[in-house]
Amino acid sequence: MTLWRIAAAAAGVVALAAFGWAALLIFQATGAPVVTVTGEPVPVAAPTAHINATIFFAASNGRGLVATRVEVPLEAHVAAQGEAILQAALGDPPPGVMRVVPAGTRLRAFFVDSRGDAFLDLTSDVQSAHPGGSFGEALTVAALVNAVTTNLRAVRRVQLLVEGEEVETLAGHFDVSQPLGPDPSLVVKPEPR
Amino acid sequence: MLTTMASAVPRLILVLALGLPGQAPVELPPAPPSMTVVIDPGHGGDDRGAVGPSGLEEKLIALSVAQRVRALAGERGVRVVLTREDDRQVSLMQRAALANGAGAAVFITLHANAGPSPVSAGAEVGSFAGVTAVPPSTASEDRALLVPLTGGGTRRIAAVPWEQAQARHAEVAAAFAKRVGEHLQRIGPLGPRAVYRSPLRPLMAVNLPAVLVDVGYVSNPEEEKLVAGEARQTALAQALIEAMLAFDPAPKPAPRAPR
Repeated sequence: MTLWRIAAAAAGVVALAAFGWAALLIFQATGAPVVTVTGEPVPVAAPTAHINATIFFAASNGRGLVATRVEVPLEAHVAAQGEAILQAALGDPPPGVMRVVPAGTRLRAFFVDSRGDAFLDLTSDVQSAHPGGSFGEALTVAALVNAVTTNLRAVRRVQLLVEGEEVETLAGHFDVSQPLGPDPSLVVKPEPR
Repeated sequence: MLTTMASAVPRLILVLALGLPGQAPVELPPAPPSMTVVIDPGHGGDDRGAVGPSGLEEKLIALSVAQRVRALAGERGVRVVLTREDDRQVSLMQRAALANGAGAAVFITLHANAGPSPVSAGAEVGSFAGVTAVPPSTASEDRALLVPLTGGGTRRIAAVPWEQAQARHAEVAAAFAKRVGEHLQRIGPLGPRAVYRSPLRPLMAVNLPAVLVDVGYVSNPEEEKLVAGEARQTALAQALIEAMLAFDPAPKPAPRAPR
């Protein structure tokens, strides 16, 4: 019995020492105290939930688009989720693939109507900074439309707008005056590394 | 010099046709088949289109190849109507209107391509594919109009919605695109899309079989140099003319084999 008590006390001491050592390590790593001893309780930010979204960039061999998985914040509504996905699609491409939406293009608005048509409103940079070419233009359109339709099941088609208005084309070739469905024909397999 | 030669040709033909006394009349070669085509040099004016790394502009390549097509096609009995003669901006609507009134067999809009990768290369040929399918047989019938006539009565006319004009020719145009691709492939490998169908805006309002030809990628430094050169432009023009001459927009059904 005495032995049992001694063993229990020793285990408690070891556990306390381990807890103290772990707290010290965390404090050193984060620079933030682990435990607040006095004062008002500090609000702790809830961990942000994320989803894995599929967005599209150009393959470096120039043969089409490659699907790229990225983590984006999980949003409560389809429109907000679409915005989060499009922010990633308009951002810098990861290494090994290339941009198809002109740099500087920003998302003005994104909304979905009751028929399942999404409206994607971009700044005029998508036209004025576009390098042109019917292939380059087709890749731009497909990357945007596919990013929305691949990730949001509620959306069937996407209508591109520029500065809030309907436009005929982005660079003179591809008709974007009406809602477009996804185009898997321009998606190619990633190149082997 | 060219003018002098050209004016001399008709006189020469006249002498041969009249013949010389005591000699059999000389038979002239049969006149080549008459055909009119519309060639549309894409972009123009402030709209430069794609620009290559050395500064080569899509609008100028398109115009240069179009002019070569016209020069060479005349020798083959093909009349070529250009939608622009120089470096000026012409709207897509104006180009389609000109094409629709030209009595032409086919319409080719000429472009030069660009893509994000500098290694993309090769000519490509596109024909129209609508986002919403319009059955060719119903596109005009659904919108038939009854027009009142002077003196009484009405007349039924088929109204073609402006932006759906090409949908009626989509299948014939796709066959023509394939033929053009075959001829372009003889001068070099085709690009990533080769022959494709897409909602191409420059074709939508054209009321005759129409295709969009990208002569090469100006975003590829080597191909930019190539398409700027006279040799490649002449080869491209000849390939297009051969494709036009070889294309029969209304092929007859193959004769049935005897039982």
